[in-house]
Amino acid sequence: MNNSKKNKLWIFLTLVISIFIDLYMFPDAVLHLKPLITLLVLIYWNMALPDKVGVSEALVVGLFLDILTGSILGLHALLFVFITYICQRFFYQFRVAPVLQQSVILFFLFFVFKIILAFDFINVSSGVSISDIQYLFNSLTFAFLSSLMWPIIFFILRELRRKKIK
Amino acid sequence: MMKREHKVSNISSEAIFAIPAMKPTRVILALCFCLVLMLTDIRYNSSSFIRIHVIDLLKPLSLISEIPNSVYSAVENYFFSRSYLEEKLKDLEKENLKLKASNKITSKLSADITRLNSLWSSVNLDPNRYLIAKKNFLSSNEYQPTLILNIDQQQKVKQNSAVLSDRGLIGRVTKIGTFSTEVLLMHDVRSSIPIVTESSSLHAILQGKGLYRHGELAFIKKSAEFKEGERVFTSGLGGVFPEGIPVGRIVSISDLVDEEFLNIKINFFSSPVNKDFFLLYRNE
Repeated sequence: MNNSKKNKLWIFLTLVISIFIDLYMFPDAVLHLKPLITLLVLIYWNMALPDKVGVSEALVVGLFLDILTGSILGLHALLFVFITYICQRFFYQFRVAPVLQQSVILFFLFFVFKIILAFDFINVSSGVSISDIQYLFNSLTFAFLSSLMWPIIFFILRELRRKKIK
Repeated sequence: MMKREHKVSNISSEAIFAIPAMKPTRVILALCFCLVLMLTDIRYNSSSFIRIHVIDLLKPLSLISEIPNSVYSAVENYFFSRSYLEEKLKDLEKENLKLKASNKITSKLSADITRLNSLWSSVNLDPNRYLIAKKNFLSSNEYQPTLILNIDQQQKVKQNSAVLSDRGLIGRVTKIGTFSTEVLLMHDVRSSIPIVTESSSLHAILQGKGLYRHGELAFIKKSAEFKEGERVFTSGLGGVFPEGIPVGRIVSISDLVDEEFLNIKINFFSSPVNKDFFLLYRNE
């Protein structure tokens, strides 16, 4: 197997594992607060290897999450593509920032991501919107936990990239 | 150097990034594609068909997720089974003594059981209609949570079967796959359940407002006399849910001046959170 295929395989494997963790490894009680590992992994690869991970990967992973989480088909994909674009557009700035600063940026990114997921696109009149205080609190916790997870994901994937990805 | 390759440092072998950001046209195309998918799903509900079959394909993943637990319990059994059994034996001896003492009152209990049995048979519930299903996973979507159940007896599960827990109603089966079923939870914002209240016997429609949240009764006139604290059961109207399944309890009734209807909140008795097994009741 040539290097390019091997690299793709490693990236694909990390994404599959992250989806697996998101689906099965968290207890039900924290499902609404748990960090979205898949998105963190996707952001890392976008930042570290922007020539190998791009829109198509974000689209596929997003559609997969749409199917599995029961949200409208295309919603996660849309957000993932948008975040991928943001990451790649600003990756020169993002990559050189300290991990703590990256975590703070990701906090805001994940907060906006969760808020957008709350919109009820099917029935706008049902009263389900960001005005739900409980959801706002959950979104803040989700963003905080995701930003806390970022250094862990960052260092794990960086080690993997240095050892396995040529 | 090709257009989209990067240089590699001769000193550290690290990549030197000199790649332009991705082209906006590609991103715009992807975003348009996603928007088309969303509109198609909103208009034609296209995702529901795909979802259950993709989840069937993921069955091996859910089996893999059970491996750590199985390994842990096997190791635990291997190392602790002897001491555990000795403790268990002592407990059982004590239990045996207690049972001997309480054996004298069993004649009264047997009479009670006979009465209960006659009561049970008088209720129109067919035990053969119940199936037990194990949870595969619950999605993290708060407003439209998806509960996926594993099924073994696929031929017996029917669409719109009521899903119950030990405390009451959970939802209904919406999609049936080969190895799994999708459940529309009563907490879901898309869910509407016809209910009847316990003491005031008033009928209403209960709408879900999301997981971990109270449900609400829809379009209740201000003159309606619901009472706080009274229990709510399925009314059986509509023929989807059987009659008399516990659903929840009225926790608050508020009459807001600028609202046309009463705002009645229901605390659901049961939740799919932290539960592994559910009952499916086939509605004939």
